[in-house]
Amino acid sequence: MKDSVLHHPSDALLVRFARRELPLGMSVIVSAHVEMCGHCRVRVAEFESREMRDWNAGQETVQAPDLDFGCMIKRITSLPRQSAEPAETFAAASQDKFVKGLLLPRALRQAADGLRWTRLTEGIHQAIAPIDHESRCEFIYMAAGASTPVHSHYGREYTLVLQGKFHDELGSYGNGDFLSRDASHEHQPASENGCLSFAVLDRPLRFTRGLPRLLDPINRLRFRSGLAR
Amino acid sequence: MELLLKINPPGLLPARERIFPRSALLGSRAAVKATRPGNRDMASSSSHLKSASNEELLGAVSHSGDTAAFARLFERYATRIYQTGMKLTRSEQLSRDLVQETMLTVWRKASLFDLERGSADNWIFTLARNRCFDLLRKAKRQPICVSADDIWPLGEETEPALDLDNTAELSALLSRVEEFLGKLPVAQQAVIKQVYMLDFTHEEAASRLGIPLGTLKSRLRLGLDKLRYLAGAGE
Repeated sequence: MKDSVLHHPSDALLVRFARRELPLGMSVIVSAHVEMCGHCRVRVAEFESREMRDWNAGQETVQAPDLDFGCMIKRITSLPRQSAEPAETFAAASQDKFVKGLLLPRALRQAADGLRWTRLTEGIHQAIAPIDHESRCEFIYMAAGASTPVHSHYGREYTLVLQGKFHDELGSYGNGDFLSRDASHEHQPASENGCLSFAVLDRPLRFTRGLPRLLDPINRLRFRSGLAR
Repeated sequence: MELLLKINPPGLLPARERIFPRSALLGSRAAVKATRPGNRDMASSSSHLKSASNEELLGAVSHSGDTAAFARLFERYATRIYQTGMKLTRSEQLSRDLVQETMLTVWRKASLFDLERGSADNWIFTLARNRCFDLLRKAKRQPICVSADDIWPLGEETEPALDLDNTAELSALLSRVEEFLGKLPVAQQAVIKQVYMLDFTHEEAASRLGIPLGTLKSRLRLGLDKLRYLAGAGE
């Protein structure tokens, strides 16, 4: 039996996910993890059923809105229904050069269409996914043997391993692992056999706007070498 | 082993050429479940509409486009959907739109409702919140390259699978299902045994156990999810 996912989002994050309270980019990365992780599916199902109970409990207290139901019902039922045969649900595997034949979690499929990759440094590639105005979402590909310079992040960064493995000072991460790192972490990720991951920076871009570092091609990484000596 | 094979929910199938589960085949099965003729018989005679369950009404909409059944569903859910809208958007206009959008999806996609994966309440509640999420994003002019239904699936498509590479792993796994089953809460074990080993319908199993149908379904769903998790967690 293969190892399963070892690193998960916190329950607090899963609760906010189930309540639809997270920003879009965050919702996307948590959803992708949940699709890959049986443990978190169980947790989310439990949180969802709590929400359900509240929903059902609240119904007595609210006054019926003044809606013209009859008219709405008539309009809706005049429209065609979808046939019982579900549409072809196999998504086409991405043709992207780094995503290759991989079937991504649903929440990422559309975003991975037509990615434009930028080489950040030897063996490290980045492609921004246009998901959200409130967070920064990107795919990262590390080629076999690649490692990034030591860096820390501006805001909190969430990373989901989509395929392959990488490691840093704190541990090693494989398919489906979900990591959360804040500005206090300094690390140097490296991958022996290559690794595709998806990352979301939860900090709104306005916090970094105007910083000259944004002009750096590796604009979300702060390099020690470039700063200290 | 024969018994154990029956407990093999779609998620345990090893359809994996790639690292991600692709068990979209579940869709056709779901459609069959939601359109059992029994549902229609129950709902389309209007004297029965009042006492028909939400699942039966959905079945009638799905099977024959029964407008009376749809109107009944509308009456039962519109207020709650509107309330959800007010809570999340604070806008009467958006909440009204939400009722319409949600019930339109119910009408169009009733055939995709999967009894096996949850109650009608659950399905419609998820729909309502997903439509609401999309409405709010539209209002904020966010780029639309992912829809709420991709983030919080309605259950009509992807049943996440296990990380099984070959059939040897599968049979090794199946031989352990009984052991996994023993780790579930007794109440969940009981419903799984009734449905998957003794082959009773949900209704029969609920009456045999003396619990409401909704309770049976939620126990079944949680139990299966936990089983998948235990199986996936392996050693």
